[in-house]
Amino acid sequence: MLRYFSRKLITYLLTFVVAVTIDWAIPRFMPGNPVDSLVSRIAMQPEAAQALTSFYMKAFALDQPIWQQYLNFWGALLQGDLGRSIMLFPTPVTVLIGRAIPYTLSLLLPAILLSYWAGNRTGALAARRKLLDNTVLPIGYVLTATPYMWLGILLAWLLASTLRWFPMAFGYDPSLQMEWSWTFIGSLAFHWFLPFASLFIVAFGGWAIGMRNMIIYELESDYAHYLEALGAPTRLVRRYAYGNARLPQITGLALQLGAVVGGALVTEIVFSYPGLGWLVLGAIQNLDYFLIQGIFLFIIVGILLANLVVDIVYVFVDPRTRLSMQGSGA
Amino acid sequence: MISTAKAARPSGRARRVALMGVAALALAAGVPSLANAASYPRNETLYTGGTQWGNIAGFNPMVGGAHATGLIGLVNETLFRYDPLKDTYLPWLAEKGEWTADNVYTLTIRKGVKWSDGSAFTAADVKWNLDLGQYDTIPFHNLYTGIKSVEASGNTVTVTFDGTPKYQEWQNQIWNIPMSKPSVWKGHENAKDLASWSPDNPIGTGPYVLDKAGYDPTTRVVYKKRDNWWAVDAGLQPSPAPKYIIDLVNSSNNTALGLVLTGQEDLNNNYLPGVSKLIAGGYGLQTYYPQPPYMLAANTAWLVPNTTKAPMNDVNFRKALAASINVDQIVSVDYGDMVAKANSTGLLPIWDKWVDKDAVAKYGFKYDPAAAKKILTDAGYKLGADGMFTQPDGSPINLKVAVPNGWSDWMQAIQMISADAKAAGINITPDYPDYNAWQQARNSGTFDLVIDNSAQMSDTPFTYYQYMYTLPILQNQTNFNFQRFEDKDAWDLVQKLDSTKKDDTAGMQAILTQLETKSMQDLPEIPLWYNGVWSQAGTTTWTNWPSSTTADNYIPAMWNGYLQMTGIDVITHVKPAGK
Amino acid sequence: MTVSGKDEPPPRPLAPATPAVAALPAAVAPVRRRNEALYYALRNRKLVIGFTIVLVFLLIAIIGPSFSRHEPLAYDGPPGIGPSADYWLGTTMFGQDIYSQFVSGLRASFLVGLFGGGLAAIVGMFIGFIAGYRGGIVDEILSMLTNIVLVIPTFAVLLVVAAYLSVRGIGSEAVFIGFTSWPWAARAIRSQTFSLTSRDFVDMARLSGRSTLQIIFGEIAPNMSSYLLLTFILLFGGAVLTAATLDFIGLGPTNGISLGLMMNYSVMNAALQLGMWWWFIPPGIAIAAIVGALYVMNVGLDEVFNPKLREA
Repeated sequence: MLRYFSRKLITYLLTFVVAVTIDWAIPRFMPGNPVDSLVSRIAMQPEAAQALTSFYMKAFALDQPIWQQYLNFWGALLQGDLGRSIMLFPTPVTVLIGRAIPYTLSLLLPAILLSYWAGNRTGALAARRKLLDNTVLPIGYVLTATPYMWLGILLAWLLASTLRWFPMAFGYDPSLQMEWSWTFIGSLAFHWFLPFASLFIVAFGGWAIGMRNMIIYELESDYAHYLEALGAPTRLVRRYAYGNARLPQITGLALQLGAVVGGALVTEIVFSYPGLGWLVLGAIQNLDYFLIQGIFLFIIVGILLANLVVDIVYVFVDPRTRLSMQGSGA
Repeated sequence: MISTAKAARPSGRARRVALMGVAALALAAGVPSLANAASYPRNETLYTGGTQWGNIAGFNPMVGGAHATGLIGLVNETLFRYDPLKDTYLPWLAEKGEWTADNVYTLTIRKGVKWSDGSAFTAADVKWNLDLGQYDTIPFHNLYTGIKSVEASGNTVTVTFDGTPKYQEWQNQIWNIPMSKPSVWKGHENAKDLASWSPDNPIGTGPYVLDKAGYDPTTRVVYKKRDNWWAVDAGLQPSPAPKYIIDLVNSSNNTALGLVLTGQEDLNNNYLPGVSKLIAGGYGLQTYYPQPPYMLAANTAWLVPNTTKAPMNDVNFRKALAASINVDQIVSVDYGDMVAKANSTGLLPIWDKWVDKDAVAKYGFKYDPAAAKKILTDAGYKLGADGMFTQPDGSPINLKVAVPNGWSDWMQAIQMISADAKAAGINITPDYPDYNAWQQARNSGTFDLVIDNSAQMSDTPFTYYQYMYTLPILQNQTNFNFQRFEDKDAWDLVQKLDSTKKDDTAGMQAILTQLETKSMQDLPEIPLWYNGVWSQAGTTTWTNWPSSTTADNYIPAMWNGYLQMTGIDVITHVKPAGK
Repeated sequence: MTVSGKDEPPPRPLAPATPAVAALPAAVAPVRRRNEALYYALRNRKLVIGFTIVLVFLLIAIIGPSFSRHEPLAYDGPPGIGPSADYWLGTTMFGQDIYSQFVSGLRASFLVGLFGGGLAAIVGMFIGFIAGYRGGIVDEILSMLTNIVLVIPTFAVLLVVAAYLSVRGIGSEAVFIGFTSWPWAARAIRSQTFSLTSRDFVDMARLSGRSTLQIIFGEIAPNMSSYLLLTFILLFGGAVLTAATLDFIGLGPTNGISLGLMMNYSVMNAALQLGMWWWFIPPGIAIAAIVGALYVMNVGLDEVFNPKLREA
């Protein structure tokens, strides 16, 4: 067990280092100079523009050699300093991310957990009932094949623009004061609903299908037949089948995270929901190196952590994993 | 081996019930109380949008374009204002300003103006603000280097220049330099902070103050009306009707249109395609002109050739290119007639009086593909079997015209331009790089052709020719002369124009006629159409928006630089609907 | 039942049920196996329906453009009219024929799916086979590589790539999708290979001196052929969906037209708000239908290859 964990930890650390390096490198390979964008916004004479440009370059340490910038980055990272945003200078990146995270998490967590839970339940049910199987399944496939943004815009147009049942943009009603009152919380929830729904609907389909397939597979396995032959009640057999079927779904959860995060970012853009997605869009448009790095770093760490957690959970949930760890490779 | 893991089903059900309960509770609490607990009453709030892209940076009025919308105009004001439609300067914080000597400008500061914290606005404050020009990160630093001294005494400020002042630039700056209260900047008066620090609580002389409680950098900035605005007391402006002004951060064109149509935004300054269709559709939308071109002209869209590359360095090629483009089609199909075609000088309609009609008749260009082919043939270009011209030295022509990806109207426009050029035998293909790559190519001079509209509406055509001819050309051009055109005579003329007094109409006209002729003869860049002051207003909550059909001929825009023109008049003249 | 028979499902959308390869014994004569598969294939409703839908769209993509009366990007028609006799799917705000955009876009989407999915399948197979067969340190390294690619926000990389390539075509998009969507396939193939590697016939092949590549492609792959087919179908569908999403946010090809680009342009021009639903809705429905049908086909095929999944 210890060997398993330590090996996993080392692997994760290595992955972290490589992923973070790539993350640091990515914005810097984008053509264009972030300071240029800043300076171009202000109409000034060439000489004045040059002075401002060199001022900003020094302020962001962009005039230092690349390897120096890389080392600075690690140094700052280990102290928890993600630098300052370029386009919103001098706001620190951590502050900007801090403002946006609650919105994104409020979309991601319920969407992932609820769709996982509801999808699995529905899939399990569908595996039992032919009628449900023939109706739920095709719907599930089509939903899961729908592009997030398309569905989001469609929902926004139908429910927000035409029927006016829900608001079409922002995190809360702009006519409200930001205070912890029931009104404000209600507005938050109201504005949260459509983006959450578009994420949930698409993710739900995938889980339902996966679970349904797993259950059917389990029900046809040897131990299930054996139990039936012994005269065990159907409910007992199904309970064991369900438990076993959930295992690959857990790993699937970890794998799916990356996709759902991408979907959340894109959905936020549709609904102007002030989370990380909206922030990263602006950062990319303005070549804000530090903000881009910071946000993607956040996402990378989040996904790695989630994967680690899932791996740990898997070990406790499935003892066979420990067995397989003891003999590896041919 | 059978797994002993049990689905946590009983607690799962409880969990689900709990979740739904909380959600229901929140919704239940939210929905009914939403109806009657809005903090900013709808009928007292003016919602604007279309200017702020991305998070709001702060409240530093010195960093143009990087502060909250409305800061200059609503909170911080300027010494003068300018009405471009009437071409008059309005004395504002300064009662009077005149050249008391050829190189001395004297300002008389208005009495009785108070900062929003109650203290008096004095000539010393003005001197402090003007003296900020000494720092090289301030936009008007270049102008300031030509100033010998700024003296304040009583309520007069005397600005003494070194040598011949740059009259045009000075005249342009006195209605653009914002006045901030010096004490707000205590300890931050240095080049670095002036370019990057943002005061939490900006103090100005304007009709509104920042409502800090409502400020959310991701979503909105809220301004609240103040009492005792000097302009009301002086009888220069009616008291503005909206108690709150809320500017919303931009989302997307799609959402912006939705917000305007559903009455959640009152004044929107996005470019919204298809608005022309909606004007007549009974949605209560209003634009400045009720018929085409619907919008006032804000700047010119130029086709900018890179004159350091062949064949763009050949004036005949540029002329042929100009004659091959069907701008009328772009105006009607791409923009639905929401813009107007530019005249051959490229000068905006507000400068019509400076346009020498004879020169235009003689040297102007128009859409004529046959003439384009003739120009090329006469200049030695050969028409190949594929219908495309090659250069006189035999090398092929293979050019790209680039606009930023996502700027849909420009993307459509260059598709049309390249089709037109190909029909005249010039091989040009459209290209849509990502914005930053596009900007870098434009600034560093690695592009072939781009469309650019950086030169905005102002009080003098000087700014346009500055944009066209500024020398020297640096490796990185950030604001002017992207076409890298070197014409020393023209630049000398532009500088001479700068040194001509604003009231010397004859002097200015003489130089302008020369510049116009030169620009049409050489075509360093090709004027296409006038981009509009995109502005559509909803009439469900506020009415009496400016219109060409009424006496309220103001420019309905919250863009930077527009409030201190006649944008503020829009705010002070709107009336609640239903009154 | 062996442990390693359990597979990790792919990221969205769904988990392919593991066809226990052992269910198809290698000793069965090929002819009989094919007939058996075909028999069940024709009677499997999911497979038939899914395949039919995909086939219909494919036919539209191939034959459709010959019925177009206008060029997809030409500004010929009256702007913004709905479906009519001359313009079967109406026109865009600029007077372009949506029908011809639609059928050209279908073609582009299928091409991206084929090349992007194919490339991902090749890379995934390569890495999965080698990692699964060799195990040990090779496996560790390849697994780490897989993890890294999984974790990198592909969005970010694409932005850099998009910024560099000033003219992007279907080809570069397919290459990008191919090189970023293989991880789950590699993982799945790897665990399948694990289970096969320990079997007798592989040991026999090794004893008779075959090289690694010969064993992989001669013994292991054929026994997984059905699984590989399923994986490819999923990758194809995933590639079509990913390409549509990328086009939609503006990171797609800079010339030509595709279904995702149609959705992008229609949103940029506020088509829905202005009432031009015929510009926005058909491309999305097409994507959902094609990819959904592919997934349904996948499940059907799974049932065909794996008797344990057949229910009545």
